[in-house]
Amino acid sequence: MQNHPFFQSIVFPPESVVLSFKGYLTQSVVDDYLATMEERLSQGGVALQLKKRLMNVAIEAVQNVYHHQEALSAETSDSDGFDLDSLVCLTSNLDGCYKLTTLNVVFKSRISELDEKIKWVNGLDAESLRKAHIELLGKTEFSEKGGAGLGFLDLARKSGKPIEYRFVDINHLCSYFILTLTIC
Amino acid sequence: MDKLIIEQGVKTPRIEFDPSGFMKITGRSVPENAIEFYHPIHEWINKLSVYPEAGFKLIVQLEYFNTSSSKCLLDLFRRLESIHLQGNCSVSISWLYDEGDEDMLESGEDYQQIVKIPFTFGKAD
Repeated sequence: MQNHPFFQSIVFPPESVVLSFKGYLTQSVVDDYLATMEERLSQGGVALQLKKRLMNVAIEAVQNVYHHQEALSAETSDSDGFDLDSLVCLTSNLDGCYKLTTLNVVFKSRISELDEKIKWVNGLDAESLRKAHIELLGKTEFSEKGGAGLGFLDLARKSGKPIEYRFVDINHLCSYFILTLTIC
Repeated sequence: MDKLIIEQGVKTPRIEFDPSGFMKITGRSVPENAIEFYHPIHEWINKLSVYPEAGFKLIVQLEYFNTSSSKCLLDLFRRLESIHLQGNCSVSISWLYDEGDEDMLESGEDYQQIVKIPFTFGKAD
């Protein structure tokens, strides 16, 4: 098996990459990625609040990718001929902001639900995000995976910027779900 | 009833819960499955049958926590809220955060809005 040509074509400008991973995201890769990222940010002298925001966003986003990849793997060994590999990449911009990009394979049947959730979150200002977060935290029951359905709200709140996202067709069954979070 | 002590892990906080009233959670709470980690803590609270006269004081001093942990923390606070609201034993939460970590302060204030337990906020040592 192999990755889809789109996956193979993704390249980030090397000079801006803080840490990048392309491949099958295992539990130990998640742990290593987050530990290495924290180490690099500390070595780079990133201010405490920015470092904490970056780590908070990365913990949530990378764990999300891992959970989605695991859930998909449980249902299918491949996305109809292509690998289920994921991507996580943190880049730093000249303006002092960082971008965390994640990519994972999703069934097309999930696209409308994801699209709806992110559109809702992106439509909220900072105060409304906080209110919605408090309300949902107080009400939400756990999903089987132990998450609280608060993921996108938390990501938008911590990053302070709208969530950029898109879907790229792989085949009739699956798409790539690409998420970019800006943290300043 | 015995103290509950869980040593700090790479992704889980140190837990020290003493039936005499002192409770503390420190470190980071970012496990993929927080329910599994918090289950014995919730169970320990459920089994409390004698409450200390001076009440319970829970110190929360976390560096990071993920959304999975955020719900488990709320479950823990709710259990303590239930003890507090019974009227026989007061419970308070001291929420400590690193200097400059306004997001962590805000997270504590969010919980303060959800549970009916007195909160105090302060800088971590």
